[in-house]
Amino acid sequence: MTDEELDDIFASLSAILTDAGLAWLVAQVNEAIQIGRIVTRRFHRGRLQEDEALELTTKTTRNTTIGTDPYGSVDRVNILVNALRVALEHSAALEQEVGHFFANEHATAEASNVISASDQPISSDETQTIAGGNNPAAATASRVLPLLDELSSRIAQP
Amino acid sequence: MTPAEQQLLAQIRSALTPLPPSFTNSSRGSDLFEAYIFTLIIQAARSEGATVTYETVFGATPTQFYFRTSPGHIYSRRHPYTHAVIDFGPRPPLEAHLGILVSGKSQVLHECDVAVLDRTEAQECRQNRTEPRSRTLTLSAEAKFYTTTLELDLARSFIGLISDLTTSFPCFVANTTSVSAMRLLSARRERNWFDDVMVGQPSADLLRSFFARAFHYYKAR
Repeated sequence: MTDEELDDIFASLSAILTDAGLAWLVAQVNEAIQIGRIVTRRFHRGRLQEDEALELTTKTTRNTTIGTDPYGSVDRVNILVNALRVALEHSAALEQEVGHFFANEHATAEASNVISASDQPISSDETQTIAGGNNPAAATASRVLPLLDELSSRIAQP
Repeated sequence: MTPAEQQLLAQIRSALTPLPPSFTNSSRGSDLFEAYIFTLIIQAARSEGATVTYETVFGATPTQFYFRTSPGHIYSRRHPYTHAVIDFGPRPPLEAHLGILVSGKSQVLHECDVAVLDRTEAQECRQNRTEPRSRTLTLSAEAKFYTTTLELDLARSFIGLISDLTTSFPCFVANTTSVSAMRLLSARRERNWFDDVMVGQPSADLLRSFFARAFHYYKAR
């Protein structure tokens, strides 16, 4: 896949997520991309000797400096896809776990509902229910995740 | 883009429709994550022998669990917000809260995503409409739910926060990670941090153990 094709996929998927109401996720991804990949660079007599990702750097010397590398096209798509994957998987798992926990905390069926509500008068009065098992987040995740797997495997192809 | 990739993206668009309204709210994941940390605190308290009951801000037994979506006042009666009462027998009881404001050493109000504090302090604050003092906190957790690597300023904010809180067991908890943020937090021992915390992951067990240690120390004090 060429960089141009990957950039097209990134733009199209960003637009899809924004239209679906996930603009906050796209914003997080763009912030991460804007910072770039953090790397360490070691110089000797003004010449670059070593350049490696921060997570792989175990030893630093006086000549080690921190810099960033811009993400490539394939990295950008992967960051976006992974962000959507985390949002779906983690939200579904948390909703199920929290709903299940509090359902067990109370004997009464009514108390199996966990409700989150704002404490700010200026915020919307909307309350949200944590559903537990078979929650909407899990249903969405089960529909979308296989498609993301397919997209990831296509991106990985040379 | 090939027709096959265009079709795949169209399928993703279709699969995301309808997206549950809770997904479109960026705070939803954070609310769930904080509630999950709260459940780990309850489990840790029980593992240390505590009896845990629940109570609303009105002092009644809850029929439904109400938690805050944004930090608020411990005395707020806007909804029947729920907290846990943690009783270790001979020691004074504690309360666990989600999303409350506490006052720091410098008399500035800070947001505590998850907090455990003295029950006497909590009761007085509810009665007097004041914010709890951070020195009455047994533990506090700063929760970050992110879909990408954590931004460094989140770790910096945590460092600033704990410098003004008087609590023995503050911690930074995130569902993802970041080499830079974790290196910054690792630089000092008192900066307790837990990354990649998620249901069923070993990191969740580590966090639960941290909370259990806080209760263990509380019992011995």
